[in-house]
Amino acid sequence: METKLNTCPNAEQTIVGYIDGNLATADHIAFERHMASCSVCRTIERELRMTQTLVRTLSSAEPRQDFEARLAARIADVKLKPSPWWMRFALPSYVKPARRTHVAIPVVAMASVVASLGFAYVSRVPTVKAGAVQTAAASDETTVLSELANQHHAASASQSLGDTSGVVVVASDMATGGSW
Amino acid sequence: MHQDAELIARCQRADASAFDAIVARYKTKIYHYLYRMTGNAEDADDLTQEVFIRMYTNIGKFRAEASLSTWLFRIAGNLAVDRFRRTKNSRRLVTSLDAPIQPGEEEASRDVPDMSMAPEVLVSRRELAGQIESALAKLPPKLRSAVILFDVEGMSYDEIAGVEGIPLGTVKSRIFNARVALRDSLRPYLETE
Repeated sequence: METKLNTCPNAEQTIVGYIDGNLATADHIAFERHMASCSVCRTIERELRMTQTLVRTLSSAEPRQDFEARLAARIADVKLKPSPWWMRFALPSYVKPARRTHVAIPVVAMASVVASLGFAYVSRVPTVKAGAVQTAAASDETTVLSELANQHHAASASQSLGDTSGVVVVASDMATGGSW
Repeated sequence: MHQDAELIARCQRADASAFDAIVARYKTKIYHYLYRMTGNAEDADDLTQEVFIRMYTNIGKFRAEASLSTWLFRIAGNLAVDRFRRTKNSRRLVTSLDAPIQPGEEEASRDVPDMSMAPEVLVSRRELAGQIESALAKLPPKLRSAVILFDVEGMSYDEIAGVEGIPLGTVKSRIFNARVALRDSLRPYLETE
């Protein structure tokens, strides 16, 4: 016949505590008093105690003799397993991955920032403002170049096709400072 | 416990001998727990190795908020539950006493020590041990773990609460329910008392 605790709703944890010797002295005495008048709790306590005794008869089991050797081989495999490049920093492999990650993430982030700034610097558009002298010089230069170009076109137009001597003349004149 | 803390600190400083010392200290306890959880020597061995590999790879994270024992048993329990979920092979949890001894399985692994029961119990030790193992295998993993940690590993309720990550009251309930279920499975052997 199944023995249940229907009549003692709070007895579940008390019985366990009583069997395992985990009740406070007052609770222990109170439960013994209760069992004296409760055949259900008395029966359950006896059966569960016997069950516990049975479970404790199970023999202990031992791992195989070569446990350590096989473990060492498996750990060597773990060590050899490639890790992401950004985790391969100069920390002892024994204390990877947590600490490596803690170091690697800020390092990689900083490297990215530096690389971005460098790229931005190299590929920047010049924004230096020209001074008054530079502006005047640039203006004069533009005028001279424009005149030279016009003269070149005029000279080229009067020559036959395929004659490129005008270009040479202009260039040599510019180099010597003369005019033509 | 103090010695464990020292071993962990040395492990975190990459002292391999400290790791070996931890393995030597805990391998049998962890193996025994996993053997009772899985009912299978091969799985128990594989999972015990996995526990120490996890410890090796995560030792840097260990902050001594729990004891080393609690941490290792927690890893072991999680691995066992994962293994159950993956294989869903509950028949492997039961060792039939009629089954022939497999190559590599030692006869002694199915043996049990002398019982503390009354001498008039007319059942062989092997049969009784097989029945107890079968009864344990029928339990849900959570109940099985609680009763094994208490009755086989000798942990306190507090330690079990730490390993399982559950309140103390839940530990007591699980142990109670596990024993009730075991009692129902083993009733023929109880009534011979």
